[in-house]
Amino acid sequence: MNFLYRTGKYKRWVQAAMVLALMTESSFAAPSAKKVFEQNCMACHQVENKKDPIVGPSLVEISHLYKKNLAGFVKWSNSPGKKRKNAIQMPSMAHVGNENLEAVYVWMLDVTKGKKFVPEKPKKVDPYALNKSESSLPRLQRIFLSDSSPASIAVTIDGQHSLCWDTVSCRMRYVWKGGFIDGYPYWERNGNAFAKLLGEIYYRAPMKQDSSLMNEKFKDPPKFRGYKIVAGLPIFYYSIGSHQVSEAIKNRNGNLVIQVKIQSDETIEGSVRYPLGDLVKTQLKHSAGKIEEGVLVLTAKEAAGFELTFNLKK
Amino acid sequence: MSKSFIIALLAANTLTLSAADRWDDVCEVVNIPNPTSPKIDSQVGAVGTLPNGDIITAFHRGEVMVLSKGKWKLWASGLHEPLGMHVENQHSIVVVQRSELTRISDTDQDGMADSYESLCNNWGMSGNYHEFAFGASTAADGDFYVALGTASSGAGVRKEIRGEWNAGGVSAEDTKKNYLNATKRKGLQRMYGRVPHRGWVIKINPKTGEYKPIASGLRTPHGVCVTAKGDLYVNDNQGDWLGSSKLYKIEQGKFYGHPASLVWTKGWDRGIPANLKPSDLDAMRSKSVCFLPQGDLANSPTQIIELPAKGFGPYGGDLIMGDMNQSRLVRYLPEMVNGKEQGAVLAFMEHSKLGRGNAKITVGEEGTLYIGKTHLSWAGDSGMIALKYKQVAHLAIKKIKLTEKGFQVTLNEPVDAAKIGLSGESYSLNYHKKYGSKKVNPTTLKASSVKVNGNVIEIDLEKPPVAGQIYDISLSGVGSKKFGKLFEKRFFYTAHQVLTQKAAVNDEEALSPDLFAFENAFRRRNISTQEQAGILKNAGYQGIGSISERGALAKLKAYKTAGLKVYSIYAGGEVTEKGYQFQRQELSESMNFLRGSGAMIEFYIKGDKGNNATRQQAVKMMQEVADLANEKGLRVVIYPHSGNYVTPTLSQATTIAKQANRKNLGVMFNLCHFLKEQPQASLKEELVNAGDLLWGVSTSGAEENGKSWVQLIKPLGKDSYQQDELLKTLKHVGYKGAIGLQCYQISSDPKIHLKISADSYKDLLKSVN
Repeated sequence: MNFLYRTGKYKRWVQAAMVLALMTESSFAAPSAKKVFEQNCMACHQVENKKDPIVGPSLVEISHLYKKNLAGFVKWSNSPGKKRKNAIQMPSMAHVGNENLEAVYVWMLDVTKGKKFVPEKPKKVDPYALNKSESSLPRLQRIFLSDSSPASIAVTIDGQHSLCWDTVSCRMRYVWKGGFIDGYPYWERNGNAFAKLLGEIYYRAPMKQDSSLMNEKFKDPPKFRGYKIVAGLPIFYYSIGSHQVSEAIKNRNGNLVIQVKIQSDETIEGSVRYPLGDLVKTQLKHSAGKIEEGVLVLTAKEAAGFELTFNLKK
Repeated sequence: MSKSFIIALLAANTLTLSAADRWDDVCEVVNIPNPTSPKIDSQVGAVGTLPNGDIITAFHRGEVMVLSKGKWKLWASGLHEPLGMHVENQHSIVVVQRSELTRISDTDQDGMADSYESLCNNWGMSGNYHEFAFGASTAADGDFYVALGTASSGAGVRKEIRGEWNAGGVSAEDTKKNYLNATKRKGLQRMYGRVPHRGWVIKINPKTGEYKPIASGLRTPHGVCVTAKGDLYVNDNQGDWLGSSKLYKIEQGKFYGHPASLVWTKGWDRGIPANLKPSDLDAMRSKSVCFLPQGDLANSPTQIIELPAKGFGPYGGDLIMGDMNQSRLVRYLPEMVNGKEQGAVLAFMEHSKLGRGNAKITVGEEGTLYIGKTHLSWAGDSGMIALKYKQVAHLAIKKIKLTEKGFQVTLNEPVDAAKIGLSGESYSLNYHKKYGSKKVNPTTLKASSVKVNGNVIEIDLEKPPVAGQIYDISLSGVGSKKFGKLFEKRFFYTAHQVLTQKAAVNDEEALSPDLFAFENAFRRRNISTQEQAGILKNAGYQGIGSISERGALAKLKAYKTAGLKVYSIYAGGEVTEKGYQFQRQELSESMNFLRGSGAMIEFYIKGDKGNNATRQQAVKMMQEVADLANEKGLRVVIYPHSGNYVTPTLSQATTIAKQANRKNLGVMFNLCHFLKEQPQASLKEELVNAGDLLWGVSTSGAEENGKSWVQLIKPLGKDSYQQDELLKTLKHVGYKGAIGLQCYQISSDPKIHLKISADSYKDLLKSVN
């Protein structure tokens, strides 16, 4: 092994061996800056933001933001604020320790050397948007919808004519025409946004709380039971006390039909009332009952099964 | 590189060539292609395994697809962020969505789900995006556990919410204004729970749709798992009030630390919980069983599952979980200290290609985990992989026990007594309003001695373990010529409790085991099961047990009809040097009936205790019986029996149970057999030696110096030799099982003697507590 004693090569061999030794045994010597970065930062910060998912700013951007500002970098890491509206809150890195944070800063400058920060282009496009034929299928989607409870369901009969059904008040809340929904704003932001309605709402059920199906015997609030799917469209089931109600959503030549059936163990007395909203833009047909002061009033017999047909007034 | 250099390196690092020296050698990752028709967002929300072996996956945007023979097929759709699943049968699953627990079924079996039954839809929703719902693990009675995450001050609430609003006494209108207004939100607590029962674990009755709040104090409880033993584990994420992610063993009525959920405690009248004194909150809370250190191990733990006994080598039966942030799984090794559970966590299956975002796990074919990944807008990934365990022998840590001076680490195989080094640090974490915690007083650890005895490493630290510390320990140089070096050599032990020299009597929890009567109380008495139920209930027994094999299934059905809880059945087998036999068919039928009920199988082993060959057969038989029981979620205990049996004593039963090495196999202590076989032995030593394998106990009144069964099996109270010692020791070891009353051949009227024994038992408990 004589050749090892030639000074230059000897030093390098020893250094390499020591590095290797440190790498193969567990090092409770101070972890390298790179290791600290990998364990604590890498999950949310890439060197350059090239790969999905992108969570926080890249190291290239951070080096740019904190150019010659080690103190600022350490301060932020210990107690992160919030500057980006659409990003998640960065958790504190206090557990890492200032010495390690400073080492990461130095390492970061080194690893981003020569890379220039270019601000990101805005507006992402939904990579999973449906194609034309897929989007014209009858279907439903549970998602956050505006002007309804957090437990609402969007339904479309043909991709153009759609409604919002609320499982808390167990009723249709509004009908729109011109498309279905774009759920991307919701899904992209962890649910911190409503699904976007495509098209225009032409009918709204009354907003106030007690606007579900009514009768003098219906003392209990409605209780959602679920739904069955027939040809892509739902039949919603709910109960009001001992009365079982179903609302089937149907497509009849492009008209949106809600078929209501009420089954009861005890006989219903008096009239059954279905509150209606403003009909100025709505062409509404009802298979039974009379509209009195904005409410569809049905006899108990009529209420056992009736239909409402909605469309946009021409 | 020259040969000399390589030799120099080898000498410097004492590398040992072995079959397995890293995780990549003992497991492999197989990528599963994402669905293409339709092409969907492949972030995974929940996974399950269907009875025919297919994997069923619920995706982020609400599609449910079945992976069959490598091809994806759409099965259901439209769900609202499904985050948990329970497979009921080939055509029906139960899913936790943001807004509801839903049973989704393909009732006409045409390959597409057609029924979405709302099993529970009345927990609170404010519309805040951070209110996730996780679950759905089942309890023994068929109810579902769901854990509800809290809301984040990073966003507000909606005008229209589900459920009532509760801000700890402050009116809805006043507080809602703050939450709807982005600038006002800045001053508010980080995570909040203003609608029912955010931050709680709830137990849902799927038949009525109602739920029972179980425990509070959670923040973002992603993993919810009921083990075969019936214990409920939930983990939580580092955040405000959580110094690091944790694992909890949930008990009814407890508060686990995150204050937001307190507003839903019955009768809460103390205002906004986060404004209480931290010391008050600290006094109210129950602690975790283990911390998962931030950065070092895991940052955002996910689904928890219990590995099956078979297919995962030395890890069979262990509790594991995923993590969003770090590219590894986590394994938990529990123990009991001072009657409380705590333990250690280690990295698990950290394959170089595992990647991060490991949110959901299900077991597919033997030895294979199917893992679903997600990220949302946090760290993670998407799609699915199969992580297969390879049966390559290697060293693994099986058990970590705290000792008075340090730790006792047990491996799966003997270790060469070479020089083992220890490095590490201990520290504590703060419980405070702030997000996370720095390591408090990190102290470098040094070992004063490390001794090896077979497969056990005994570590004495220079400073003995201190309560309230996390011990981050790495062992170097652990290896054997046969199995190579221990590559997963780092563990993190949370020492909430430490052992003290004197047994801390004040710390012991009160002893309160259920009392059940052995079925033999009614033998040959011609008393109907209805009447038996009446007698036992009136006398104050919680149920009946040790139901004998003959006609067991019919008896179990009758007891169920009579509304009498069955604690155990009594069965057995026989071993010879060449083999063993037991009533497999009948036992399986009984086990099937008792599925998920929490009842145990008391199992005796007839045969010659004197030789190695019969003992080995006994081990094999107990492995088979335990595996059969495990399929039905049941536990087995070896029943020590005096006479021509392989395990007349508890110690012998404990040895067989340890050798059989099954997570659902323990031992039972029977006082009458103990007094018959070893009247001079120390009852305390026998019980302590059984450790946390002691799951069953039977007792009876006995005479001092008794020799016959008539003298050793009597009603309690008439004679109570050793009852005091028995109950005191059970209290000391933190026994959590039930106590059965042995009634074999007691001649008097059962109606009378059962009442006498039950009353004496109550008095005995009082005197011991």
